[in-house]
Amino acid sequence: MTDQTDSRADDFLRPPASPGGLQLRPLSSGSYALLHRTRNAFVVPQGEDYPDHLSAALEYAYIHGAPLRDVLLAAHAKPEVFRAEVFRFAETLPVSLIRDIIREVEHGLTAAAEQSVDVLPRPGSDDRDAPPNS
Amino acid sequence: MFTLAEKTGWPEAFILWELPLWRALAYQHCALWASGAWTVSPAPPPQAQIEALSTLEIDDDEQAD
Repeated sequence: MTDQTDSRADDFLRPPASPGGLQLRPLSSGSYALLHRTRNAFVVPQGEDYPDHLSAALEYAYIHGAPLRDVLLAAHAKPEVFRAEVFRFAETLPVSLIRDIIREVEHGLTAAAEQSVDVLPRPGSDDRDAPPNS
Repeated sequence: MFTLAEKTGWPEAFILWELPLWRALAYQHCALWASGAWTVSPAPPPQAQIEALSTLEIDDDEQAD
């Protein structure tokens, strides 16, 4: 097998992330949408300001580690409510976990980016290529 | 998500919250290929983000303090 195939096989066999006993759900389509909704610095460009990656890592840990119902409620509340919930959750996390959480973010984003594809129109599939009587 | 649910029968909650995004994208790619679509890789990996993240790594010395 090639290195890339080995790497992909390893990804399939990767156990669920639980840094320091904290069970993290995987970066999924739903959690990615939540990261966007909460304007997380890892997935939303922050403009001129230098993004606060530490806060972004803690938000990531909250979205993937707190009970899903609580996360959904907080993400649909005002931004200050969401930040307060993240802060309360982060208070329970040892600082030493930050590195493992960042590794999880790295793995999730990199693996997803590697699998992302755009669809190319096939020749003749455009409406303009259709017969005039169609 | 509809395509994955249709092809696999997996429930919506599983696809949304439990299926890793990279696997969902890989399966979607398979479904696109199976339906005859042409696909291309859109962009290089988010290297800038990864480099920014790596600057956050905490030294072991700092953790011991």
